[in-house]
Amino acid sequence: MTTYKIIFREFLNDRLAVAGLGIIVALLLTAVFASYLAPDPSAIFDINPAQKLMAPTREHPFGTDHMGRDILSRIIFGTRVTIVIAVIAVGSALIIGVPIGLIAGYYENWLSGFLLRVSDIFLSFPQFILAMALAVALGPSIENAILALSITYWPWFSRIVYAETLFVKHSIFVEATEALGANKFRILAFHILPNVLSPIIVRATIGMGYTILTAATLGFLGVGAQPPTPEWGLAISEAREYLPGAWWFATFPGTAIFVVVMAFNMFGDGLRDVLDPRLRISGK
Amino acid sequence: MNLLEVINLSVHFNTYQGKVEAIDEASLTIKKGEVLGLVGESGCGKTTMARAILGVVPSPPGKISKGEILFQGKNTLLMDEKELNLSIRGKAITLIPQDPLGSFNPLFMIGTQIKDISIRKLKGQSETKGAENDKEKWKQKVFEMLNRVQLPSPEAFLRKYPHELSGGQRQRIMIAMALLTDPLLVIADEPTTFLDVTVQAQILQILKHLVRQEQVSVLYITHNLAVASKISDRIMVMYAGQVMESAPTDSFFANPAHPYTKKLLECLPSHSREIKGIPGSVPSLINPPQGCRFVSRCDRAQAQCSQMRPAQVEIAKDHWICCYHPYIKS
Repeated sequence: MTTYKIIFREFLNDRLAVAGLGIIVALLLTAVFASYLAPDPSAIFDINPAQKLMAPTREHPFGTDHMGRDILSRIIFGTRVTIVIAVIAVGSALIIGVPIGLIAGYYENWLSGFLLRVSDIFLSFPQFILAMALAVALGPSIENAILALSITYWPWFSRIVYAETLFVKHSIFVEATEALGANKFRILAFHILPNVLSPIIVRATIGMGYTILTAATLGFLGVGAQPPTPEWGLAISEAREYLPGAWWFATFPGTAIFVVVMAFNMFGDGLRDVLDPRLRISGK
Repeated sequence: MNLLEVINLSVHFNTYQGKVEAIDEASLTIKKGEVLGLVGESGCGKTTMARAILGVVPSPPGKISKGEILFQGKNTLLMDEKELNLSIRGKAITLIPQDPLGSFNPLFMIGTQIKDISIRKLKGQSETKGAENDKEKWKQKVFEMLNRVQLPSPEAFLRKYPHELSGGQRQRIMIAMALLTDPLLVIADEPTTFLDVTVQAQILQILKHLVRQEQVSVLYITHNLAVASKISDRIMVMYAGQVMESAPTDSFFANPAHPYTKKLLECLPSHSREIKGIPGSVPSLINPPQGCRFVSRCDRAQAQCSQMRPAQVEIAKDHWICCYHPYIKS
């Protein structure tokens, strides 16, 4: 118990990380209660040409877009899209990458070599280009963007887990557990996995921010979310034609992306400092 | 009847430098209730022997190329993983590992790790009714065992993490864990190496006492002859993967016959004389010498020694050696 307390206290000392966590919690709450928070929930899809491209007013604090929709409401509903993309993409990357890393690290046979080479092949493509190519090939949609992101992100996890597993599997307690007659599954799932969890958690948190950014980029390029989805990257793309006149159209979705990605990075850095002190970079 | 019989076991490891012949036709037997001290320098194959008996020689690169390991008359080398896991490892044969800190998973409390063993045990015994009852009984047994290794207030220990305990406490828990499943054979792989002398003596006492009480057989692996003499009924000496001499403890110290044993005993520190070393070093186990592997460091070696390995001969009751030119009082 005391160990967790120490970790928690140390984490609280890191103001940036706590701020990051605060923003993430706020993001989650916003997504859950979007329909209550948005000033005009019905109007996120409704086209209203009479109100198009209005500058921020009291009624529309972030202004309206080229179809007369309230930008604040669309940003609030955009949190749902963002979170779904990030969670599913990182989640599936974890589900694919972690077992592959564990197996490749634990066994020393052809299978392990094969899994590693497959990871290497994926890593040797620029991830973003690969995701884009996949999204284009499969047809532009949110689902395909998520698929492309998961498929290109798992090798990062398998690589990290592989390296950590190699280290942990030579621990004496693993040998002792083998000598006690535990089967391979038990050793991998209950003894090695908990010991390699810290870097996975850190990577997954930072990966969330990265995935949100990539998803927004895919949306911006037109191979991710499609109109009229209230997706932030897509909104910036739509706003391009109206710049610099309708500055609010691009600025507010852009700020949302910036704040959320920043929050995940700060939180992830803080987590890394407390969970994996070996990798600590800040001069504390 | 012999509980464990290892017959002509050979183990090699394939490395980039070549084939390392870690154990070369070594045999040993352990009777029921007997403590066998397996003595030798680092790298002579002691630990590999222990691993082979438990069937956990890392493979690849390791390979058991020859021999049989008969446990209660059954060849464990022919058993599949499942059978080994269920009936041998951690059950009939348990291990007290060398490094008591490294051998615990650092993330879990001691109690959790002891409970892990109990799950196996309960599964094996009675899966049907009275599982709750069994749990209570098991808890009693854990407490009793921790008391017997002289750990007071076991409840407190069960809630601690491995790093919160001292080396001696950890090793006592390891001993308790090794004896919990009522094993027939305990393999103790240098369990006192990492401890202070004072703690070492305590641990040896406890272990010896428990072993006598429970009537379990022990394979006690050590490089320390003094420790071996304190605990063993019989001592076996290995050198570079070969068995050199095996004798009852008294006979071993009274009439060491193998030149290597003789020199080894001279290496023991003592008041009365200077410590001698053994000149030279252990031969490489990649392409080792054909005959006796001690030949390069032996004063008594002759041409014959490096050509063919001497067979095992009994020079006194139960006192076996592998040497053409032993020291025998006539």
